Amino acid sequence: MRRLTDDENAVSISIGFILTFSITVLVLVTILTSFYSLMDQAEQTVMRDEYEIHGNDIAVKITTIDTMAGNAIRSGSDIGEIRYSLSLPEKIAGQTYSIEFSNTTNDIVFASEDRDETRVKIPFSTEDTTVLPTTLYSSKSEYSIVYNPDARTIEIS
Amino acid sequence: MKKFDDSAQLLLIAGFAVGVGIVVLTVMLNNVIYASNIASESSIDTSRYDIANAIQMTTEACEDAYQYSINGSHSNVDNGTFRQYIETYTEKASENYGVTGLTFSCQPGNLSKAYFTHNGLVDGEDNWTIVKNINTTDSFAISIPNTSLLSNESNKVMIKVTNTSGNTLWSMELYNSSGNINITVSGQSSTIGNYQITTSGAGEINITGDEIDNSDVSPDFDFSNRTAGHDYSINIINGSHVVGTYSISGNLSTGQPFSQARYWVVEPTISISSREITVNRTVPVSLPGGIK
Amino acid sequence: MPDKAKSGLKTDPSAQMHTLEAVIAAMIMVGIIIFAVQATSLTPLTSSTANAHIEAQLQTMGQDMLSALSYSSYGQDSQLKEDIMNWDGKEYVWNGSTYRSTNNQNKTTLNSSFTDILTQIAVPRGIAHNVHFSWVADNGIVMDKSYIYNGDPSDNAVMISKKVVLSDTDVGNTSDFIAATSIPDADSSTGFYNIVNVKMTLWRM
Repeated sequence: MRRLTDDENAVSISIGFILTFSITVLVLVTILTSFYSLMDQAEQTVMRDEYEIHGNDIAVKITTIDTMAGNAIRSGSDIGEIRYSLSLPEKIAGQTYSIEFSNTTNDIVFASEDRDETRVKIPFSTEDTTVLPTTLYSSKSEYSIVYNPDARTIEIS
Repeated sequence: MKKFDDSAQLLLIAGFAVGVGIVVLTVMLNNVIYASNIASESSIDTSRYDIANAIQMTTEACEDAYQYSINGSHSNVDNGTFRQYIETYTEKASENYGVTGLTFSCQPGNLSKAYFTHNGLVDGEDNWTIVKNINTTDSFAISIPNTSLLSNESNKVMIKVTNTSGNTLWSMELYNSSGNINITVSGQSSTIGNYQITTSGAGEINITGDEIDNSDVSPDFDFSNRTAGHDYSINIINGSHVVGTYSISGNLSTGQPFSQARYWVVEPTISISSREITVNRTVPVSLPGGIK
Repeated sequence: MPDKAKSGLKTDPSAQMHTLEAVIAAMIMVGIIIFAVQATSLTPLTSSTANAHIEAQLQTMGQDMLSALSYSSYGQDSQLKEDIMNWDGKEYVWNGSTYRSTNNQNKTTLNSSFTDILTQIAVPRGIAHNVHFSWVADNGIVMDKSYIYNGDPSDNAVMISKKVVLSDTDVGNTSDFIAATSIPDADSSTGFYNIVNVKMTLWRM
């Protein structure tokens, strides 16, 4: 038994060195790869939450315009103009994104460029007006939500 | 070799353990900091309250301005005094709104004759209720000064008194027949009387006082008798086909007195704008509205 | 060969391993620090959600209270307007059971629609409140007078304002009103008196 533990016959320095070195490199690479996927996960969570916040902001503004318009229509007042100026960041988590308004499903859909996992749908509700369906791109960064009294529609551009 | 290998392995393992520990800690801490830092979720947008406040204030200002512009009777109104009041009001209101970051402006417009629609404008609601749940009416009078604005028989204007179950207790139909106002007053099932106001008449009908143009009518309109003991509401049908004034006062079934009139209507335009929102709308105001 | 490996420090070939291990350990540490720094730049660092939710709640509650007070039925003055017109110019403090005035002599209690709604809603929930009346003087300066005072507000305080129009007939005797409340007549040539901005500050204690 003692001979086994003290036996250094098969020990070769260069192979020992190569083995240690390659194992170290492998472990390093694995850890670095896992870093990147963790970061990716965190980024996606951030994007989804930010989209929800901005989407809710837009939905509240749409509902406010709808309430004001409905109120005016019922009392017989004429509305000259209702306009909201909206400012959204150009890039969220380093990626540009698109905002789509759909009046068939009454949803605002936020999607970043290539990832499907970061699509977020925020519902909005209008009673007396309709929102014209459109798609906006985040590079514009300054938008306006305008009410058109003749057609009773809300246009976002 | 063995001793050094041991401590090298231990060092490396320790290094990796520390590294992984820091990574895990950072990611967790990141999520915690992040989760509690979303503030814009509850954005407080007060613009709709400011606008509602502005509309309410403008309505009150118009009603008060009207009280100061009456020269003896409601048909004699000084437009100049009215405008002056509203101009002073607009100036003070813009100063007040300016302090909070909103620009406010108001164009008064002129007083115009009111249609019998809900808001007094020609495109207002045709069929509406003046007062609901009335117990007794002390006085009810209408006047139609300009017959040419009254429609003919195909578009009769009707003042209908209904009780809570929807039955008509009393009704008055008015229409224009070649310049004269033809009035038909009916009760629940039968006609009470037919009257006519000629083109030379002033068109004043005192319903509770049973008078047309200050002279008694026969048979009486019988308003108070037909409505006594009931909880009723007074409705107008086809109100956009007549221009005139009305005034009514009495007691509701809750015991509270009520008093309303409309002689004129004015439509000021208010516009409010801030960095975020711009709103521009008109506010139709019935004058004098409620009478204190 | 094993003999040579066991020789002293100077000819010790395991130094290569030591160096390599040190370098790699250093690289790992640096990599971790870079990741940590890059990860934190993903988060938006603004004020905490809990505070924002409290503020939104107080804002809604305050708006509802003032909207209820400023409702005027046909022909009647709103309760808010009546409170302003009945104000004697003193400042009142909540002492646990009523609102007492803070002047030195002739202390009075306040009983108005404002106090009714505050004792019903804000006091049982432990929400502290201040009410100011403010108006714009002739020279453009904003004047402020305190109606109800309960201390200086904390960090998450919310202010709700409603404006009320006053006419000469509402005020009645203008000299008495000015002496009590110091709200001036903006224009004595018209029936318009002034616009008073009612500001209510709410905060949780």
